[in-house]
Amino acid sequence: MEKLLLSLIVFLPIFGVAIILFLPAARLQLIRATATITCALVLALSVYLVYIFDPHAANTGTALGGFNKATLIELPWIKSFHIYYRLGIDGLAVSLVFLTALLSFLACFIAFPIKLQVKAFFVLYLLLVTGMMGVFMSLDFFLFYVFWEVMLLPMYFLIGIWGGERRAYAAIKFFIYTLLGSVLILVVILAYYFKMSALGLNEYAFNIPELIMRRPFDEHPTVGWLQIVLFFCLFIGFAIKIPVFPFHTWLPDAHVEAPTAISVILAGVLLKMGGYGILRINYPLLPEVASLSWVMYFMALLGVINIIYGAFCALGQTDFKRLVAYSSVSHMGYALLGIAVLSNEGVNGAVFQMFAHGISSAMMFMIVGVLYERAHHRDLNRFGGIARQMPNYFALAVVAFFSSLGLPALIGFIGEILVFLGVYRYSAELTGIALIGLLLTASYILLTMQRVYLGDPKEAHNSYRDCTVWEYCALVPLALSSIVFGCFPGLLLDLVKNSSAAFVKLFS
Amino acid sequence: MNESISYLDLLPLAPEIVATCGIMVVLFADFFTSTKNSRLVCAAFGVITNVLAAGIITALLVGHSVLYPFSEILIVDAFAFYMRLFFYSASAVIFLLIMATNEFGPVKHGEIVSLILGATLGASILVMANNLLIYIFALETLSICSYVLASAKKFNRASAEAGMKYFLYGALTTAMTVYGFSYIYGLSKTLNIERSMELLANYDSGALLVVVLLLSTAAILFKLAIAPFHFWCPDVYQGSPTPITAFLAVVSKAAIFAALFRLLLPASLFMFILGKVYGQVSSELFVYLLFLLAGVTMTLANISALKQNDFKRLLGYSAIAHAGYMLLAFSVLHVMAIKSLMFYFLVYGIANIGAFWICSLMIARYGHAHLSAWRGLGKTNPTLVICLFIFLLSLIGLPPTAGFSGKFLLFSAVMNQALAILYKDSVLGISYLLLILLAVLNSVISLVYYIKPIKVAVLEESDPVEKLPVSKFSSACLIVLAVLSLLLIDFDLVIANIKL
Repeated sequence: MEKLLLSLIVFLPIFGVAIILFLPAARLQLIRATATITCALVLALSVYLVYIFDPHAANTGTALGGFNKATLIELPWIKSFHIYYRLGIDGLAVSLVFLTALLSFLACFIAFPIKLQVKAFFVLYLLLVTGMMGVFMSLDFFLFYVFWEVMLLPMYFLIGIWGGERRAYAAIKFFIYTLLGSVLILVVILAYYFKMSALGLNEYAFNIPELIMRRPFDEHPTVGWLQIVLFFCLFIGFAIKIPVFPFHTWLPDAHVEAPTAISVILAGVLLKMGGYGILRINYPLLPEVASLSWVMYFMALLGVINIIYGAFCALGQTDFKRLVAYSSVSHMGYALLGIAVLSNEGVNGAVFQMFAHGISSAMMFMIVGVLYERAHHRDLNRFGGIARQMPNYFALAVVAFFSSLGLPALIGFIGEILVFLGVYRYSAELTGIALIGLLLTASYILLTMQRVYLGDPKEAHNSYRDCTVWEYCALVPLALSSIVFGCFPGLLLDLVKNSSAAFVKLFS
Repeated sequence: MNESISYLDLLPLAPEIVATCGIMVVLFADFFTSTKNSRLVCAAFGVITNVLAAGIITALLVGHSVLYPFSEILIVDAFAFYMRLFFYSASAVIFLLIMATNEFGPVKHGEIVSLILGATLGASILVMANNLLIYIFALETLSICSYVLASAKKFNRASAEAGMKYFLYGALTTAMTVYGFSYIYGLSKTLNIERSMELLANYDSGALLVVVLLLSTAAILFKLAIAPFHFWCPDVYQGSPTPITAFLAVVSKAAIFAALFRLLLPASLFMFILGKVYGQVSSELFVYLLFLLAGVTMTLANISALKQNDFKRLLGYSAIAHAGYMLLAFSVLHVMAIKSLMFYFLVYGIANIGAFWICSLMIARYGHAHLSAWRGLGKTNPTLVICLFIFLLSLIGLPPTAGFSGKFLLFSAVMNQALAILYKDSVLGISYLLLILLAVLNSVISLVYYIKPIKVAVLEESDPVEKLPVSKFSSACLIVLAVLSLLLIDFDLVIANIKL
């Protein structure tokens, strides 16, 4: 059972797809139910995975600590190139797998109001879930790349068919940007393959943990230009996904044009793939480059720029959803900053921040979506006084906003504080600049709350009803997780800390 | 020299003999059938002939050794076997396409079918040619059949223009090739390709060799539509009847590439150029020239394709771009490079024939393949659009399709060379790396135009349109091609079974 667990999580959605394909297109309820139940099963399996995952278990003898031996699966796929179907999880992966399962289950509820081609929507949606799960679990470079790209294809259609007015533009922009990044990753995969062949280690050419352990390009103690080129090829590939300034321009378009459920997945899961890629592949493969002092400073600086730039952009928006999108740019900056300084606190903070952002931004997008369902516009200046019209919704919105702001006892706080602890030891100036980001975040969050929720109710809003049952189904669990993880961060940190310690050890 | 012709010499040529008989059978069959039935009957005979030929090749493949039949004017090695297998099978699929749609109008199809068989015959002799005269002879058999086929749509201006254009450019470049061959003969005093190339390899004037090489390959570069010889390609592809375009893009192109290998590979010339006197100006010049040709070709084609709105023309540009990718394999001298190129032919062939098949269905219905006609197709013909999507993904080179494996193998062969050279000659090594980077960036550009038909068919809203009529036969063939495109991502299915 445990050997099959990871494969089940990855491929269960495909079974869901097969079932949905046989359902008549007119049976909307049945299709929605099938998709939701499939995602619920995936979530249940993920919870079981977290339950059996032992963060303190002995690692599998690789450089990356704590790959859970019981669940590691390895089957030959393309023999002549030593490409394996190899799935495994460590603390980092398991937390993101859980996040993915949770969000993809909850986003189903948000997708219920979709009327257009429901069957096609859920087929693509489930394919997307498979792709995302595969990315977080693959320990074979080739397989990783396949999942990485497979996830792109449904996303293109999900934005392109069910999106807003400029959907076709946003979809292709997203596709091209991500593809651009991934071909750079491909170049690195090829380089590693041949370096390993040249060293006579064909067998491990695509094996990520082995590559990390053997570091075929290492020319200790010098760092050659080739390593730097490979490092930045990988970095750009993943940075586009995070997104790091100046590769972020696809994000506002994609997030704004996508339907709410897909925005949730985009912000909640897809951005994490960038961070995950950096933590799992980019930095561990070339630690000698990552620990160069100028590279460290450069990365930290990029993180700070992301924080400040994203916050300023968010401050200037009048479109609610665009504001949330830019806040994602800002929040993912903390993750990059935390990774860049290569300290325990920083990396733990970065992982926590990614998880927290997954919860809070997903919630924010749902909050925007709920309002948009009723108002059919997102212009911040035309709202006001919603709090009295929709009190329960307002309560949930407050949790979302304050999670995003980083209020203590909510999920956003822990990640930021850990990152700051890590960064302060590295550079006090950068910490100081990044702290300005907190102020800016507080200003755009509070300004938005004021503009949308406070004030006298407007007549135009009289017809707005409070949340529907399905909207509660999606929002309440997220609000609860925000509070639970905010009060008991150990739940997540215990899972992650061994993996991040192993990660940090690579650089010492 | 052995004057007598042994019957054993004929055995490896059995597929060609079958094809020749097939041509005659088709012409006879055409004579006895009505205009109405001629298409189905002739194409069916075409399929049977090709399947027979392919079957014989598969049977002969077991326990082969390299043969030099007819006093060494031909060379029959594993490479030739596999390439011929590919030609006959691809050509059989093209006959299936002719059976599925009628683009030639109510005419007798005997000539068309027999000309395609003739061109396939030319292609398969070309990959076996070990003699400069046979080489020219086979090249012209392939070309002249293709010229006529390009203008096979009677009373159609575009088709006539395509044929004429193809012929004029083709004749000129063939003349250049013959001129180049005259140098080879003059320098080496032999028509045998292998021997003449070995003699040339020891010739010390590198500059002259490069000129000879460029002249001799002019016809090949032209037929591959390598820039700056690519101008004919979009016009000819658009003007020719779709099955013929598919033939040109798949069979003809693979044959010409194989011919380029024939000219360069068995001989040590190539080895000499890359390795033996490595460091001489001429050798580096050749590699850089190849880089320039490949890089310019793919970039130019991809950028020109961006603004195309006719699907068939778009595939024309895509064919140019793919020729650029394939040319990369020639910068590497390695068995793996040849294998990966063969695999690339296969996946590119499957995806291309599939795409042209759908294009042909569109033309049968609307008279053109302009992208505006695709609107609403996603709703009326979802299966067709999914198949098209898979073919286009394969052409872009994205997982989970075979096109990805094709590009992966091709680029990995180049990467291998890059890393091997990097420490000896960093400039050349970096050029290799930059070329790979250029190639992968090109696949990103190509996404923009390949996705266009899908975008129009699925993303753009439309008034309700009527369903595009697709016969069960067409659907079945397309689904088979699409499934193949997905299955072959496991390239081991092919690569592990090719033994060169």
